[in-house]
Amino acid sequence: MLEIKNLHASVDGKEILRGINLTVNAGEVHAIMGPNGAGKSTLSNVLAGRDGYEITQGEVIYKNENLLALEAEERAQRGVFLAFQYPVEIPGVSNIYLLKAALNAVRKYQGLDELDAIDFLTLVRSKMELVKMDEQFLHRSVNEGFSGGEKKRNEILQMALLEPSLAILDETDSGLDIDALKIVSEGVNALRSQQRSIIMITHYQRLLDYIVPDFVHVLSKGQIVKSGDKELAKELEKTGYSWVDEQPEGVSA
Amino acid sequence: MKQLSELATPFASVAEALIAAEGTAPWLKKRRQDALTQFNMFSLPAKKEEDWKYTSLWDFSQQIFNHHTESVEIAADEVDSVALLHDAYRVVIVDGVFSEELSDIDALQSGLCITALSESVDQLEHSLGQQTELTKVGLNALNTMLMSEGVVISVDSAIEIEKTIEIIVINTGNTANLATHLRHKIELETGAKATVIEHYVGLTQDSYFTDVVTEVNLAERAELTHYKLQQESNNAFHIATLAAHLAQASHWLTNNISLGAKLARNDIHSQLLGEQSHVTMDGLYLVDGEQHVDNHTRIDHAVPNTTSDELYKGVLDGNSHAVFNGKVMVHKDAQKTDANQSNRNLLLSRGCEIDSKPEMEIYADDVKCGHGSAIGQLDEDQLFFLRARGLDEVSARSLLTYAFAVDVLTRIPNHTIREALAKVVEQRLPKTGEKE
Amino acid sequence: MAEQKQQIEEFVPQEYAAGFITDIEADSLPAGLSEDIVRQISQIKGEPEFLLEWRLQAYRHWLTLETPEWAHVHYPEINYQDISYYSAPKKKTDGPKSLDEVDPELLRTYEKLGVPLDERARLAGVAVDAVFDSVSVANTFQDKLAEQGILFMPFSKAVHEHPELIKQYLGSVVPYKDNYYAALNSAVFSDGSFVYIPKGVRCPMELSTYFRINAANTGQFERTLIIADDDSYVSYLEGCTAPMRDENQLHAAVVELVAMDRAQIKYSTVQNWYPGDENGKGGIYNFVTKRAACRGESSKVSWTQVETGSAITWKYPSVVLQGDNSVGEFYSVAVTNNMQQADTGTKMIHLGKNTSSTIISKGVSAGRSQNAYRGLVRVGPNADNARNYTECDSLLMGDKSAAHTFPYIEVKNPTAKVEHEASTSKISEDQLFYCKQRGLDLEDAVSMIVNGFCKQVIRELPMEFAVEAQNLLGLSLEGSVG
Repeated sequence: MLEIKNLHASVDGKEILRGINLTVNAGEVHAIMGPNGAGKSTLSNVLAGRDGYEITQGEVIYKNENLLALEAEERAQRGVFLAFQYPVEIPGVSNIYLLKAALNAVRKYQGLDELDAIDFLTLVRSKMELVKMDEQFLHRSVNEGFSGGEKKRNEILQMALLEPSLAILDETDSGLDIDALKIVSEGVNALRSQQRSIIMITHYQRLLDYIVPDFVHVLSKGQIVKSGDKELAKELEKTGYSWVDEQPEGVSA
Repeated sequence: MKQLSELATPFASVAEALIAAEGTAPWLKKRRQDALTQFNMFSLPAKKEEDWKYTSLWDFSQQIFNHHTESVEIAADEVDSVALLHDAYRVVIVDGVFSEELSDIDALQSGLCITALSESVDQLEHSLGQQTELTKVGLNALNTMLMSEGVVISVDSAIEIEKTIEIIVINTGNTANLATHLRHKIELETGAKATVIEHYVGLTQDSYFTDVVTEVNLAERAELTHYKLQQESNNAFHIATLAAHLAQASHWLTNNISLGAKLARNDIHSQLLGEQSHVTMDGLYLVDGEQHVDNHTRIDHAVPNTTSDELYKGVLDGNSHAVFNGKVMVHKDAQKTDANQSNRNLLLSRGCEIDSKPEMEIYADDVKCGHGSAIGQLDEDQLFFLRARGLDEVSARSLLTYAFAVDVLTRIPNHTIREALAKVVEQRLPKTGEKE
Repeated sequence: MAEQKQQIEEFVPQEYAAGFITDIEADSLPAGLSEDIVRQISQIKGEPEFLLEWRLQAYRHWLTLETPEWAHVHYPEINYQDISYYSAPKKKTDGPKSLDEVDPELLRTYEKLGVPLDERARLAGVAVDAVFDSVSVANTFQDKLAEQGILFMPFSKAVHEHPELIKQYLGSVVPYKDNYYAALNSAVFSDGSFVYIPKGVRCPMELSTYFRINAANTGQFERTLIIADDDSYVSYLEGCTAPMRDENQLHAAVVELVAMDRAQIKYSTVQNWYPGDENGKGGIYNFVTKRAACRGESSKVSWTQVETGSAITWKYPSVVLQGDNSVGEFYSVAVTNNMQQADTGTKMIHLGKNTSSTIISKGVSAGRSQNAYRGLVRVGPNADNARNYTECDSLLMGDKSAAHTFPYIEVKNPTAKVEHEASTSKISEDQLFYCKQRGLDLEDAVSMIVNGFCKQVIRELPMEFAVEAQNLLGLSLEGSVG
């Protein structure tokens, strides 16, 4: 599904990612953990194709294609989905309009016809149950005036609708109370499948109690310094990240 | 015809006499001569001039002002009683003449230089007029051809001046209809820091004319905190220009409080010429009776990554008239400009008038600029709340009016100055309640 | 990043769909302006003496005026002697009686513009007056409207059939002395629409006028007058297009609205005059005076405009709030691209007691265009409890475009509450990335965000126009913003 090889990336000349290597197979759930400033958000932004990052070395292969050569929307159309840490507000554009435009953009790429209004609405409604969203959200402007929890649920709704092959959840647990965290996690779990890979980026272990990963990686100073299974996350919970920073630089580069 | 040409005061012949005076340096003669030529061509702006749309100089043009100070007598304790601060480097100008005895600039911190313009003008050939444009329609030409006194302040690089410098300009009323033309120059070298107060006081309710141009030049990383407190006679004319150049990473905080004068006009112009420079431009005007105050501010964001923040508030009573015109100009390529401007006005009585004109001209795209203007009354809910807590209506209104006004002082970093100014504002506010 | 930036700045010539020329024979007056031309226009239209006199007074006054220079627009001096002040498709002397009399070439023109004049066609719920160059060429549903006493007809026809109304109201809101272009229009205006809604009548359908400039070197000087008598309601729409020509053409219209007691007028404009090419060659100079008088108590006038066309727009639809409790509204979207210049806004003049006004202005500047909001809110000394709320937002695309805001607020009454807020920023990179991450291409993302930005205004438009306006917004920005 996804293969990241020796990925180096910088922002404004400052190197943030310093040689990331990661392979994600279909159906796997990977958690990437790390302290603030480790490069977690940079990694998700680079994978999604946000402007402003310079790739200085390495490559990313997604479904046998060079992912880095694609525009952000081309990646999205091929099934790469980023659940934003800070979902963006778009005043005046209704949620349902964006959902429809996004779904049709993906369908167009897949060579499918646009869904008509009725089919679309039926589909959206079924997905909304997944994240326990009220229909009124559809008619409000995208994320405008949404609470933190509502924004994150809205991200998962979009994920459910777009059915990506690779979902990157960037700090999806941040700013959520325990109830919202449960709803979001249940939504994500329902979307786990053999055909879909998930990368979860998080600072805290608690999300992993709800969405249990197959693999856990620790990111520090732009590199993956340790990999393991879910037990690694528990260990981190106990010891914190201080030991990570004590590791000598350049372990795996 | 966009200018007033019939002037009762023979400003031009006064200037001619100054130019002809012996001992004037040739460069200064030429400056004055150029200014005179300009003045003869354009005279005073009329209301058809966009910048003078709401302010008429007709009444001013009909005044016969006197250019000869007859007596500068004033008791020392009188200066003490009008001064804003007691612990400050004090520079006193009485009826247009610098007074060495009344000033307190003998023991200055090293790196600080304060002189009277009349004593140091010969050294200013290259710096005088740097921040002001002679050709601008307005009164810069008048000031340049007639300036006779002022204060020149300079601070050496990396020096932080601890004491505040208070320039006190007093009109005693000893000379009827006196016109004074002042030019101040404030220069801060790299990394220097200072606080300067310009303080204008009239001791009588007579008519007179204060014309002042203040030039401010801030080198890299310099920080100037600047206050202007204008307490002229309610029959005086006060026309002022304040212009600053800001180099890289320099900061200018200016707060302009206008309380007196029959006609007060301030043109305040800040040019952000270096990246990371910042200006905070605040002001308060309290007018009553037949007073007219006009604040024209302009901020030029000339380079990328500069910021500005502006708040002007006014309280209008009686038949007063206030004008606010704030222009924010973002030049081509001045990306990442962040500019914010706000003008709020409280109208207390029938007969008063406010003309507010916030303007933005933006030629770069990656900017965040906003402005707001509001005109209204005291909040009825707040009034009710205070009355429900036992205040009578008059006190409640006074309290809310005071709160509205002193909001402008909240960004003043120095506690002593903030308190002193708040006290002045409190004394000046109307004590009556309902005013219909 | 660099690639997107380049895409955003790169110009791709936009498609101006209305840019075709109709090949039709026309009767035109020779170029030039004089008393004699004014007399000829009046004579062609067989006008009564009072109107000729009025025109001549306006013309003589115009001669004493200077071109206004205060607007933030720049263009070479206009030679008023190079312009022809009258052009009409041949064979038409008066407004047409029925569609059978209308030249099929003209019907096809309007069909192509999406304005079928056939009463059974798509715009069945809308009565249309089609003005082609200097004259009205078709006017639908007149009979049906007449049943309720509603007058909706070409101005030139109203001059003959209802001279008393014309005499009473013409120039009563915009006097010929008002400004340079109003004086010019008053001297040479040729046609336009006239609407009268009698007391207590709610106009059952949308009334609309489609203005088309076709002839070369011709100016269009239309005059529209709408009177809503006590307790009446009318919604009126206008659309404007012109062929692509290399020369600039002048359009100097005057629109006067009068709302009597409790009457409501809703006036919507989708202005899509030819904007000129990417280098600023050609395009319409749109110098228009639009003003409404809320004369009666509790009357209401609402202006909604979507301005995407014209090389230069100079236009300030205003409301004079004379009646107590009257309400004025102004909703505007102005989009400029390439070399377009717009200086537009409104004036809200509060005179009566308890009057209120709302101004919502959205400016979008792309390419090398200049887009200025200019507005006046004035509260007179007797206008107790006046309220105004103004919101003025500008969106910039590309670092060569410019956005300006010039509000004038003049208050002489202490019971007034006036609030003005304005902001300027560029189209948000975060929003663009978010949309792209959901699979939308850049162009769709921009169009969606801009439409969202303008939503507050678009939703004020009648349904038929809202759709057209949304498409136009996307089209106007096509290419220039990637």
